[in-house]
Amino acid sequence: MSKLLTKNIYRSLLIISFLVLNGLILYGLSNVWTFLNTGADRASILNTPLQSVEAYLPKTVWTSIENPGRPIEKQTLSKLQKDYLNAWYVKNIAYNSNNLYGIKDYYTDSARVNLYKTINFNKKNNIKIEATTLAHQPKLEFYSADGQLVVFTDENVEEYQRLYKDNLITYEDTHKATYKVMMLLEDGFWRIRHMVKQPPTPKENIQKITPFATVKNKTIIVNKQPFTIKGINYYPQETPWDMFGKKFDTTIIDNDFKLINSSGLNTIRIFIQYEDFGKANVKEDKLKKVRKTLDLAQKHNLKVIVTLFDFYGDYSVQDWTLNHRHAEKIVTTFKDHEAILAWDIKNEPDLDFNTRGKENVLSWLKYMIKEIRKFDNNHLVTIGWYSTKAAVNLTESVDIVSYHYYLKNFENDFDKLQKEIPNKPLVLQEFGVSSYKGLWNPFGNSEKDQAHYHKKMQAIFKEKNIAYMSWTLYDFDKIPTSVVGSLPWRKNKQKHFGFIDKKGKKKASYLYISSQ
Amino acid sequence: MKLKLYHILFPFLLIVILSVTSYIPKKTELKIDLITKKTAYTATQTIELKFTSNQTEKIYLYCNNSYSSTILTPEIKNDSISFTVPNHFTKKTGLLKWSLTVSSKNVLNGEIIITPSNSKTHVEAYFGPRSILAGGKDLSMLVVVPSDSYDNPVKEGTKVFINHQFLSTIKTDIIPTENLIAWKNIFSYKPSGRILVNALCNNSSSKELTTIVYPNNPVNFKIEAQRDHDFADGNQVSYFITSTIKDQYNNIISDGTLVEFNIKNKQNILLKTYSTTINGVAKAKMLHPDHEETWKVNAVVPGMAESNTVQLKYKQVLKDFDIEFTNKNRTINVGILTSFMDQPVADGFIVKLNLYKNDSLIETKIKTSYEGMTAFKLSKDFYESGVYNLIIESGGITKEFLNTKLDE
Repeated sequence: MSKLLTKNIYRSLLIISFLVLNGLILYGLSNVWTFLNTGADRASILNTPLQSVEAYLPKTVWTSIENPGRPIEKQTLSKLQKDYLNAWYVKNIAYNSNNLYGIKDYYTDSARVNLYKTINFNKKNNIKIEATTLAHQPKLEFYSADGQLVVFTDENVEEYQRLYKDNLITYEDTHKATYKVMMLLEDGFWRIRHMVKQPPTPKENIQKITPFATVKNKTIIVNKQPFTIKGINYYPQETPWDMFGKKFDTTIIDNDFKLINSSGLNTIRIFIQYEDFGKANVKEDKLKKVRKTLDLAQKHNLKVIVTLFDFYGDYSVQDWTLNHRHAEKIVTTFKDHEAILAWDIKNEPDLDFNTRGKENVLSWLKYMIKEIRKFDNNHLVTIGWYSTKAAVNLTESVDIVSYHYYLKNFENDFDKLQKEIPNKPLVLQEFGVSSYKGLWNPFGNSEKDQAHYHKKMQAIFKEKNIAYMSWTLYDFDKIPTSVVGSLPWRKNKQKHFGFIDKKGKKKASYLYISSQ
Repeated sequence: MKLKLYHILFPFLLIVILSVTSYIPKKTELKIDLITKKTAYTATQTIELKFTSNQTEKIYLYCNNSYSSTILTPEIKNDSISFTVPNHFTKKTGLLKWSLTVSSKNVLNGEIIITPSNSKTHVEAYFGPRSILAGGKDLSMLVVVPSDSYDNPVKEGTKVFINHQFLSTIKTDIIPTENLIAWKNIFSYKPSGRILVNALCNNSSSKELTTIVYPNNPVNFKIEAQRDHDFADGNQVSYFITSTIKDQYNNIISDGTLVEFNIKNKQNILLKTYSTTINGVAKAKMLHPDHEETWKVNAVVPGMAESNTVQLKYKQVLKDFDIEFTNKNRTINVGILTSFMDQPVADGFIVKLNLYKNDSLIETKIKTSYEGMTAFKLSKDFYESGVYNLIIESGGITKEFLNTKLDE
């Protein structure tokens, strides 16, 4: 009996090992087969030209292309502009890394020596430069008959430079200068042959201003009336952090705005995501959706604070010109829209101080504000600081100082801030409390606690006449990972900040959405 | 007693210590002045910026010129500090901006203008296009970029002498520099040839540069035909020769210009032949026809010029020829084909046989003559016995043999 059993065990072991061995061989062969069938994309055989990536886009406007040499062709002009800006770009990169890469392509033999000498000097003395140019206004002076040589005057180039000596910032500033530039066409590249810096060309700058809102002392004035912001941060319930995506629906927004207006509020805050809107080349369809939203806000008598650069976090000087083109497109598109109260440059930039460097973030903000004011002087500008401590930065650049507050000592911190910034309107741009109490946070606040919190806050606002914008109208079903990360206790908390729950029922806190 | 003394001394000590310590952190106000007042230099002059300062810590000078920026460290002597601008900055003309920074704050700013040095001038010249057309409408442009010995463009308004030579003319124009350059359009003259140019600035000369003035577009011309006889013998060659083709300024057009000859025959069929010019003359060839023919010949330089039309007549050479059937009509001997002096036609004269059966063409056989003779062989393997119609053509003569019986 046991002999038979042993025999059967051996037999089955043998069969199983045979099957396993075969399986392994098949697996190995299939892996070899897969490996041999993967590789370069077949389209690469065609050797189609590489799409060049736009890396440097300072505002460039040819003020004149009239010249005594010969008329310039559109194609040549665009190639010339591209190569000229590339010359600046490779120069900026070279001075940043003290590496000669790329200079040969855009500077002739005799001109590149000038760069090499400085790069060697800077390398020896441990100097590093972060630089960019913000605006160019070239004026064509001469284009030769054989199409091989151009001379132009680049008027009032705005240069930003930050120099590091032994890794410490030693100099940071902008200046304007005019350059006389001569370029030669060599090997298909327009290369700089001569460049002579000159004092800036005096020019009158006339900009028509019809401000929709102004700031006087500490008050915002709209239509000649003092305006106190009583607002809310707004995302539609279905599409948090993706308001202008595929599910964009004007009927939902229309209803929501009606509700917001009827609950006694006068302002909303919306967000424009940098990447989602197409970075330097802003997508037109997104702008159309923003316009529809703004029109609806206007219809319901709501003012809008538009937060730009949401989910952006680079701030490097090399990235500036791309960011500026993004802002330019959006700001110029809506510069005449009455519904907008203010441009909020960036949401909670102080949270990036540690990872990106405080200086980087602050100069990014400072020059972004300058750039936005170049294109739009009709609307106010603010920055949505996360903490009251950070809000003291750049007060001279903004019209309104905005800060967020999720801590427990509001009155105290507010008084302190008011003392530090006595001359600008202050807006509590985000505040609120989550009513999440569950598996991931058993000791959290209940809906009742939330209501109590808002009641208390509203009392303070009324007493001290504080401008506020609460977070947020709705409880959300899904929170994108990019907002608070993927940890469940964070996500679940973020889902329950609303005044209206997931089923559309008004929560107890709704009574205190405004002081009405 | 001792204890009491301590008690009295202690408050005093405390006051002394406090007053001393309160003195130490008191900040002296920063006071920096520029001593160097000069703001205009010529290239390579030493630039030393001197300041008086009551502080010498963390002071740097930012420097920026046409091409680059840098940070300079000071030399400190007592209460004066000085910065020597490195010579790769002093050599370059234009605006030199500087900023004195103390603890990363800009304290003083200034500007210096550096003008080109009076050292030896280097003259760079660009000339193009390098080939133009005669006549005075086309031009080459000379762009002159004079620079000093440190590769800085010379001062605006510096005089540049632009010379050009053509045949016996030598001309000089004086052009002041503007926007870094001086330039001049050199127009072609009526004759073709070569224009030489150079430019002089501050007694330095550029290289000699040249542009070739090519003849302009050809104007209409004449052609004539040459042939050894006017017989259509299919053997001799007729020549078509153009007159000397010239442009409107009487320049002989460039060698190698392609001339296209179009020949129209009696049936309005176009024959073409080509030739390129040498010294303005193009010579093309065409084989004589083998039958009576009239040709109308004209020549064109495509898109530019054309010639008159020449008419040529060719006389028939073949009057008649014999045909002999042998081998049960399966071998057909043609000939002798005789030419205009009764000599046998030149070898290679074409003879055509069209073979019909039941009124439909079965085959066309083409043979060429040898010593005036040729033969067609109709093999029984291909052509079964029966009744055929045979038509034989040669030199414009057609002979028909209806209902010819081919046997086994």
